Amino acid sequence: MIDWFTDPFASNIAQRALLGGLVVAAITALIGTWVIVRGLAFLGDALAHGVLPGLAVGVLWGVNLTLAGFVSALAMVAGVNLVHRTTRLSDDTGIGLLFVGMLALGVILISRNDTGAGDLTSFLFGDILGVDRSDIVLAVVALGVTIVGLLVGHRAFLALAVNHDKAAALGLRPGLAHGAMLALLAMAVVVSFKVVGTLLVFGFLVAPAATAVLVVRRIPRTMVVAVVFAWLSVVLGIVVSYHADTATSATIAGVGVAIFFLVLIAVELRSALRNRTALAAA
Amino acid sequence: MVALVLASAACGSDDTADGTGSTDRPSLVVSTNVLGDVVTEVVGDLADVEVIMPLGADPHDFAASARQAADMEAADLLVINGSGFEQGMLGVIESVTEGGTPVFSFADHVELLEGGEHDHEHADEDTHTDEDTHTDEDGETHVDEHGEFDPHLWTDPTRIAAGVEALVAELGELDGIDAAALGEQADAYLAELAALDAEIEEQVASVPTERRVLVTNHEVFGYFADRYGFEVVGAVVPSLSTNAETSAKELEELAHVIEDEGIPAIFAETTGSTDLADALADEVGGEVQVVALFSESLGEDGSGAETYIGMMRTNTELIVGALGA
Repeated sequence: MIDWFTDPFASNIAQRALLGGLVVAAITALIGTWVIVRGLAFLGDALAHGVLPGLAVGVLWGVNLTLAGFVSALAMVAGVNLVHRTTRLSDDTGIGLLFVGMLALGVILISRNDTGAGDLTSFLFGDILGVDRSDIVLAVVALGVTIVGLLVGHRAFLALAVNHDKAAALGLRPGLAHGAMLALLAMAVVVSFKVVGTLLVFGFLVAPAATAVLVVRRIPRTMVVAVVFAWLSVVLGIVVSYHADTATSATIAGVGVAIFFLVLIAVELRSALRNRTALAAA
Repeated sequence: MVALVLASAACGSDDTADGTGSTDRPSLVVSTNVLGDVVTEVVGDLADVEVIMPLGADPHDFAASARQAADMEAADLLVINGSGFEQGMLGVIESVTEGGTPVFSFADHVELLEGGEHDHEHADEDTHTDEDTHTDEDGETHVDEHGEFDPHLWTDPTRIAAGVEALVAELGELDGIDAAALGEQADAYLAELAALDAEIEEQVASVPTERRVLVTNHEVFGYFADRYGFEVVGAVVPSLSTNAETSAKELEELAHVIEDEGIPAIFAETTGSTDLADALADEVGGEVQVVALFSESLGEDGSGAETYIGMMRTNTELIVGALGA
């Protein structure tokens, strides 16, 4: 039985995948908590695709992929802001426009690359088994930046989540706080794409944090629990994909969502039981 | 928690090494099923051979599972096509190489053709982007030399023979292999390859020179064309990889070429969709047929392409049948 859990991690490749997956899952679960709390899920999803043109440009012109992806994500955020400020359209319309625009641009750029270098599939779904040392180092640095950023900005982020105007009144610069949060989000997406791909990184952002919200209330605690759920998905996902011979990154993302529904059912059952005993007692 | 899992993982690796049974025979892992058959024919019972890609998989796309990646890492020798052919496995192959597993790449041992020799107007740009991607990827990509050379080297049996000779030399150095027996088996297989080459030559001779033109789904038969005097007129997807896309304009230009030169057939592949090739055939009109070749994967039992030699034979018959008068 214990072999069932240890066999998948016997190879160096799997160990690197595990390590890379754990670090990336921690980054995305932390920032994902804010995504959930502030209702930025759609923007997070869109950002994940906003990096595609940057990656394509990176491959075509040999620019550093991480940097190109980050710039591309920031351009997307700027675009969303522009639509938001200059039109009466709601935020999700602007996000949707940029989402499709960036995705299309990315695919167009990649498809013009006749050599087939850096194919779309690996960008969309990632290649967790191909994670190398430099990817892990990069992710660890990004994790450090994320933790520091979240600690420093915590009060401002909290005020932003509660009430934009009040945050301004308190001198917490809501605009700056919002920008900083999106920059952290963009960084999380860019660092994760190699490991999980731009399609699945969204699952990493949302699933663990959403699961955590089901069981705890306060934000710092939610973050910790989210990281635990994210790590659980990574470990279980790798084990399941090993034994079932399924695509590793997709299995991890799928396990994350499955855990959400299992926890949801457990929570509902518990409250139903509690109600019944309360009724019986009365 | 990480440390705990990693520690137990380290113990696990001993178990699996003992658990794989016949430890005295070297274990070979081969990426594509085409080369898998070649390697199996050469080594026979002298080594364990595991083939990664299943029948019918598109080798440009195929991504290895975690278990297969672990097997690749644990192999005594990993045999790949190389030249960036296994696009979906590049990351894993690179990891395995860095981890110290010996890797034999067929592409390193045969004379490669340069890619992108098709006469499309982007040819110049393309070569540029290739170089740029190369010089400048912060030491990330050693294995993926895609784009520079055509990786579809197996469509020429003499190149496979050259690869086999180099492979035998390398296999002979592995512990626990009977080098003399290996040499005999390899010679027998090389003789079969030589016979295959002669047979294809003979079959192809029945096609008049001016009809020896290939339009393929993607640029896959360059080496076949090189060896047997065919001209690759164009490809539906003008790329060495199935992972590229074409444009309406390129398709239309190709349709004109097919019409003008009276080309009777478009050769698609069994590993992917023939939708584009069908659409192109429709565009040109009734006389063009779409013929699916076993270009990048062996076929199922009964397809005539269960082995490398059978696959080459079947493809030759299909090509000669479609182009011959």
